[in-house]
Amino acid sequence: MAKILFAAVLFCLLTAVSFAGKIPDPEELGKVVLNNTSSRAGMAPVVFDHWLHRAKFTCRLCHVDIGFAMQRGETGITADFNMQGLYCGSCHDGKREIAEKTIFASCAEKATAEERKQCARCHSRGAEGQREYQFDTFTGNFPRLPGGVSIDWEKAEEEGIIKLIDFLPGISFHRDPLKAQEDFSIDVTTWASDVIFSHRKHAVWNGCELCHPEIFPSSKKGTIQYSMFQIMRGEYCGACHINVAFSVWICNKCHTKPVR
Amino acid sequence: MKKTLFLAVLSVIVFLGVALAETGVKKRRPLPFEYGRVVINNYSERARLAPVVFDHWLHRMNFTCRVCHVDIGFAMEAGATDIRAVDNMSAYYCGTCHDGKKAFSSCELDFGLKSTETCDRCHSLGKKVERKFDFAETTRGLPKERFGNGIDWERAEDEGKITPSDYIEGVSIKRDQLVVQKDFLLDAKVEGMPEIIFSHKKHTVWNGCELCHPEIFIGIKRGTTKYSMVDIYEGRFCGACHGSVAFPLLDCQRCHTQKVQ
Amino acid sequence: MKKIIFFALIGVCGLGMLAGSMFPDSPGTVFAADDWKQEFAEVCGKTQNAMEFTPEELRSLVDRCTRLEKRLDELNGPQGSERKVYATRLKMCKELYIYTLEYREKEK
Repeated sequence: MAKILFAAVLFCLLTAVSFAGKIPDPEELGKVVLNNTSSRAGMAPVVFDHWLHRAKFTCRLCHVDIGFAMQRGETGITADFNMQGLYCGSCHDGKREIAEKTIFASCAEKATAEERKQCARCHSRGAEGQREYQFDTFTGNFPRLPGGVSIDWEKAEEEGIIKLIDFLPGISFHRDPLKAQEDFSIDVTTWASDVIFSHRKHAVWNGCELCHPEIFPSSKKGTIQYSMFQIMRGEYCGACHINVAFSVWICNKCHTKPVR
Repeated sequence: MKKTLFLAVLSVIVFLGVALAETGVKKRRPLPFEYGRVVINNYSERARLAPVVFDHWLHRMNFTCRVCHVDIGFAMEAGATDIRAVDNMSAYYCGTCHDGKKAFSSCELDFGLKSTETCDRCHSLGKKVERKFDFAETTRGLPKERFGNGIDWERAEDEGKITPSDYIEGVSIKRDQLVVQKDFLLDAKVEGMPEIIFSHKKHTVWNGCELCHPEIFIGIKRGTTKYSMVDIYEGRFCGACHGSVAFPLLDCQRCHTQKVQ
Repeated sequence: MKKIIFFALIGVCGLGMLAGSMFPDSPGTVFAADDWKQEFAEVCGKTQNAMEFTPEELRSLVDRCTRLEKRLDELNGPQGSERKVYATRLKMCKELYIYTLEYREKEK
C-alpha cells in the first residue's frame, strides 16, 4: 500500500514539476512561439494563437491539407516557403478570400517601414497588443466548459456560433468521407475510471490522417501501449490535449466511464 | 526501503526514457518537392564530398520505375546499392546516363583539382545548390493530387503530359508487350474500412514484374502472406514504395476505394 | 595419298561440327567474351511473359540463369562494376522465374 502511494505521489510530483501543471488560461491555451529563423533575420519571433484560426477552420485543414507539424519549430517555416504559397502562405498571400475578407500577405523580401507594421502582426513576441481581434471580445459569447473558464469548442460549433471551414480551393482535395469508427472504451490500469474515446467527435475536425498513422500508428485498438507519462510529454493524446485542445488536467472530460 | 528507492529510480528512468521517444507525435511532412528524397552516403563523406541528395520527382517524370530499379539495378533502400564513383565512371548505375553524353557527367577521379560545381549538383546535402530544374515550374501543368509530390502521376501520363521512357539503349532488353495480370480485391482488416482493389495493370505499366516479385511480395497465392497496415507503415510490402516515393500511405482513400456492400 | 588424308581430315572436322551443333546447350557450354550478354538478353527478356510459360519452359529458363550466374562469377570487369550490376539483374530475373514456377506447380 505504501509503495502504491509513494508511486502515486512521485507520479504527480514528476508531472507537476515538468509542466507546472495548471489548466492554462483560455487565452494562453494554444499559443505557440515560433523562432526557427525570425531572430536570425532580425525579426521578433512569431506568436501564433490557435484560438482565432480554431474558430474558423478545422484542425484537419492546417494539419493535414496544408501540412503543419504538431510540435513547435518542427515544421521549419521560412519566409521563402510562405512566399511560395506554402504553410502560412497558403492563405496569407494577399489574394485569398475567406468569408469575404482578403487575407493579408505574409513575408516579403523587402518591406518599407509602413509595411513592417504588417510583419508585426505575426512577428509580435514582446509586442502583443497589436492584434486585429481581441480574445475577450471575439470569444465573449462562446460557451464554456464546466468551471466557466475554458471554452467549449464542441458546443460552440453545435450551437452554430462558429462555422468551421474544412476546404481550401487549390489546396484541399475532395475525398469521399471514410466511415467513422465506433466509440470504444480504453481500459485504464490505474485507479482512474476507463476512458470512452469518441472517434466521431475527433474525426469531425481531424479527419483520419491527422492522427493515423503518425500519432496513433496502429488502426487496431490495443496494439500500441501508452500511459499518462507519454501523454504528459505531448505524445499520443498529448499531441493535442496539452497545448491546444482541452487540457489533460480536466481529468473527467476523458475518464468518463462510470466505475462499477 | 530499498524496494521503494528502486521504484522511485525506475519511475524517473521511465519518465525520462519516454521523454526522449519520438512516437505518438506529428512530425514535419516532406514538402512536395522534398517527397521522394533519398540521401546516399556510402562513400561520399569518406571522399570529402557532401552526401548525395537524390530527388525522385525529376527522374520519375522521365523514366519508368522499372528502367532504374530493374534494368540499371538500383536497390530500393538508401545505401543498399553500394554505388561508387568508379561504378559511375564505368557507365553503371548513375553513370548509365550521366556519362557526359545523355546527361551531365557524374564522377571523375581528379575532381579535387577542378571546381566541384558539377559534383555539387548531386553531392549537395547541406549545401545551397540551385537546382537546374525548379519543382514548381517544371510540374506546373501537371494534374495535382494531395500529399506526396502533390502530383497525380498516373493522370499526368494518361493525359500525355509526361512520357516516361521504359527503354535505355545498350542497357534495357528489347521486350514483348507485358501480359497483365488481373486486378483483385483485398479485404481490410478493420471493420468499416473500404476494401482495396489492387490493380496489377497500374503497377506493372511502370514496374514490370521483377520489381515486386518475389522480393517485396513473396506469397505465391493471394492470401498466403498475411500482412497488416503496421507492416506497411514499417516499409514492407506496399510500404516499400508507398512509404517514401509513390503516393503516401497518409492518403487512405487512394487504395481503400471499394465501399463494403 | 596426302590428298586423301587431307580430305578425310576435313570430313572428320565437318562431321564433328555437325555433331556438336546438335547439342547446343550441353552443360559444359562456354560463352565467348560477350555472348553471355546475348544469352542474358534472351533469357531475361522474357520475364514479362513469365506467367504464360509451362513449368518445363520455366525450369529451362532457371537453368540457363544458373549457368549465367557461374559465368558472371568469372567476370572481372572494371573493378567488378559489371559483375555487380548484372548479378543483381540476373538475380531478379532468376527469382522471378522460380517464383512463377512455384506458382505453376502449386496450381496443379
